[in-house]
Amino acid sequence: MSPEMSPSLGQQLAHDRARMLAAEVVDVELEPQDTEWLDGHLSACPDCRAIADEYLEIHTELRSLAMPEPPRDLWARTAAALDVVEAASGKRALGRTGGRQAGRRPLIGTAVAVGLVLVVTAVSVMSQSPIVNLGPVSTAPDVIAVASTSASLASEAPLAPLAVVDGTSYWMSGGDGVYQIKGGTAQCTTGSAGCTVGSETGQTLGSISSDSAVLAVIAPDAKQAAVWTADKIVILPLGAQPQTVALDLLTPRPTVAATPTPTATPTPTVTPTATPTPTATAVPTQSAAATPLPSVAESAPAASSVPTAAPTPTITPAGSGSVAILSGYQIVGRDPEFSADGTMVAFAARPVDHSTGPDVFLWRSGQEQAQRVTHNGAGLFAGWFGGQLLISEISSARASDGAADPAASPSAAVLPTAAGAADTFGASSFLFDPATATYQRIRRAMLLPAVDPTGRFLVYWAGTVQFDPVSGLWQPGSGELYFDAWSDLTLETASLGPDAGPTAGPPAAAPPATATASAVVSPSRGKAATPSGSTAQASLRATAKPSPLATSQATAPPASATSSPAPQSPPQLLPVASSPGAVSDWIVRWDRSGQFVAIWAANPSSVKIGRLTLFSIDSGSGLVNVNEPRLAAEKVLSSVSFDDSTLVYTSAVDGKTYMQSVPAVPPSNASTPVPTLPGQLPSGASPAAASVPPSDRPGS
Amino acid sequence: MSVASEGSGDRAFIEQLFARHHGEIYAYIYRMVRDADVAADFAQDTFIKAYKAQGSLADRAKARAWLYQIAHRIVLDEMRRRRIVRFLPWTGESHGAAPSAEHLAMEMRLSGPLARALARIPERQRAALLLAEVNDLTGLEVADTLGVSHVAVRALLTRARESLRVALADERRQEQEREAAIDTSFAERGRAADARRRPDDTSTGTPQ
Repeated sequence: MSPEMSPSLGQQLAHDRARMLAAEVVDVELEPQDTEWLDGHLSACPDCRAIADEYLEIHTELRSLAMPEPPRDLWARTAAALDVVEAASGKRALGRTGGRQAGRRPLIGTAVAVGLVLVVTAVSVMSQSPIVNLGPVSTAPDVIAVASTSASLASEAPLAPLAVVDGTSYWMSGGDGVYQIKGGTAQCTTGSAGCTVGSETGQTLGSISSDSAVLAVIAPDAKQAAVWTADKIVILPLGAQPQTVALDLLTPRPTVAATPTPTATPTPTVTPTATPTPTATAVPTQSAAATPLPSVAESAPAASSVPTAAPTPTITPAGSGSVAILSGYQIVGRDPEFSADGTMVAFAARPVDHSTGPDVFLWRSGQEQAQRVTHNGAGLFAGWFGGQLLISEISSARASDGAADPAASPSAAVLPTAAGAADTFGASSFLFDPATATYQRIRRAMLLPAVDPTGRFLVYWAGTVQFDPVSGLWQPGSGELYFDAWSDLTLETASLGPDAGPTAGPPAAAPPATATASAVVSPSRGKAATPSGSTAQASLRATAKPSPLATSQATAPPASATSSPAPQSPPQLLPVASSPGAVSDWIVRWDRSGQFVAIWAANPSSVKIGRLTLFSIDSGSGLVNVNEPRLAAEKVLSSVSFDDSTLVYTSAVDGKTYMQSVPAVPPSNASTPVPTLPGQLPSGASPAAASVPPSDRPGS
Repeated sequence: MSVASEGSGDRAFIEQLFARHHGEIYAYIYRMVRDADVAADFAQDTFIKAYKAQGSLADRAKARAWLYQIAHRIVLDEMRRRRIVRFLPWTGESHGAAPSAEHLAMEMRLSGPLARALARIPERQRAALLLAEVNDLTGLEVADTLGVSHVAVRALLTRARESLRVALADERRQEQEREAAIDTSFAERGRAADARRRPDDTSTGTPQ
């Protein structure tokens, strides 16, 4: 008889007590009476005895675990970092005492790093910021420190805000298994570098308890947050006097993890048209007015088949309870992100047992659980594009005997074949419209494209990908970020249902290739997004559907064409890393107007500290001024965001969060290009001209 | 009594701490984050923060637990902030990846069912278990490191052992299922090979 099946509560309690004591006795000496009672119970209960033996076995195994060896250069790295810290403290002393540089131990090997810090510190004195400002902004810095931590050990690490919304800063604090999401006023007067919002202040808007570390993102309206642990994601309403939500006790209803379900709910069925659909009501008027984002209604569904419409989202009242929208999965890649209207959350996650790869999930307000958008275990959430999702993936195409059909067996598309078989790997990105459950493939190979809120420009990554045996995932290797006009891309309908996911490439189109654990994602235009060879190219061209955006380029009236010469320029390489090809971890943030793009690129060997570069975009030429970045900041934490037109970033040097207003940039000529939205023809474009084939700028 | 303060001697003290404890600190962080690069990053941060915060160490005899406290805080804080772009899973063998032999050896030793089960339990439980069982901290030291009471540590350890027991049983069951599937696959291949060979055997026959 197992303890769980004990007929009486008394017996059950005895079994529970026996388990607890059996767990404790592993390394704690029990009281004599407890020891006697436990021995008696275990002698009469074989199940509890078995569990007690398991505890002892685990105890022995844990003590015999192999010790992982630290890298050989750990001391060299640490010593160099200590040198930098010493040098920085010596420079601070210079300002206070007039020249004392205590404790500095020069090392030849770190001379360059030390010199850099000295330069940074010297400029910081002038700008009241520890960060070097370049370009026009630096001459008149409008930088305000809004948050810092106390000097205590517990909070010594910089406290980066989760978000700053309309001047209110939101951050997470706490520990010991209880975390609070707090909000506080972040606005200070210009020049008052000392005004701060300490972690101990602010109003608690959400409270969570969990045995696991908790992360969070805030909705654009700050009325709810998406919080997640290593195996669960929860939507948490934010408001005054919140109750503490026990994350470990929340479970989705019903469980979605065990049985993947298609994204689109088969009610009701509508035929896609180019005219607005009733789903227009899903987009709050206020949000649409504030930000000219493409709504579902503005999209012209490009599906060749009849899609099924998604249910109209409903807004969950802020005061309603928390919802565990996915359990048994861990977030992969980008953090979850709310749509601009706050009614949806998208993210990529994979099962905690790593039985499959990551898929993209979408949660709509009012739903009990997130729905799977991709189904091949290869999806990555890149970001929102109005009401649509940008999805990326790295896929493989088997080049053996064609037995593997990715469409029939989605997981096969991303798995290595048996020894001797050949695989190739490549990158694809897609636009998924949850309203119609349709996909559009971006023909150019790219990863994690980030499109500006006005839908005119994008930044994407291209480079090599490498397999990381520790995480069991493919990760970016050597690569660069590129800037281009969205209208230069060619979209083609992915003739795949939501069950198949976007990955399935032509099964018989794989070129001969050797097995490799790295792949190249080339920014060259005209290349298909899949790793397929010439056959696949031909196939894709045959099925390519003119992108409304590409069509608009080809057919735009002269006035529009002259005002937007971007299509004539190749993708611009963005110099954001310390050395060429060194962008392997990055974050792209746009201001609301699409005139500025801030790019954080991780430093080599670091996942949390990197370089922040702010570029302005000439709306007339459609080009980034790469030679004169508005900001070039070293040692910045990855939590970079925009609050409207204010850039928010946290320095890893002093732990303070800085807000920097970005001025409006007049275009280089008088005319401003009309924003072009996905699935929407620009004003003045002739529908008849939509038949002009797209080119994705061949030959350029 | 404060024996460490800003000024001369700080660097030497941290170097001593590094020499004595960097291995176990790195191992603890690695087992928490399961990423060699991140673990090295965080181990470096641990000693940098220790250097900066020497004034908070009242008793050098407790420097080891103090280091763990710093490391644990870094792990939790940074795991809350970190953003790592990660891609596809790799559930089979790597054809062309060329990780170092050292790396592979470490993976072989650390990726058994127990390590995988450890990775599945909540962070605070894992931290408590690693500190108490693997890194040999006392109950009071574990309590200091995690910032909870001694009683809370006992309760946390009890929960952790039960979580790990369940997770380990599940890992072993999955491993058995995988091995059974592999055995079945080999058996089927063997039968298929036998079936292909059999007609040849009969055609060649015995010498006349």
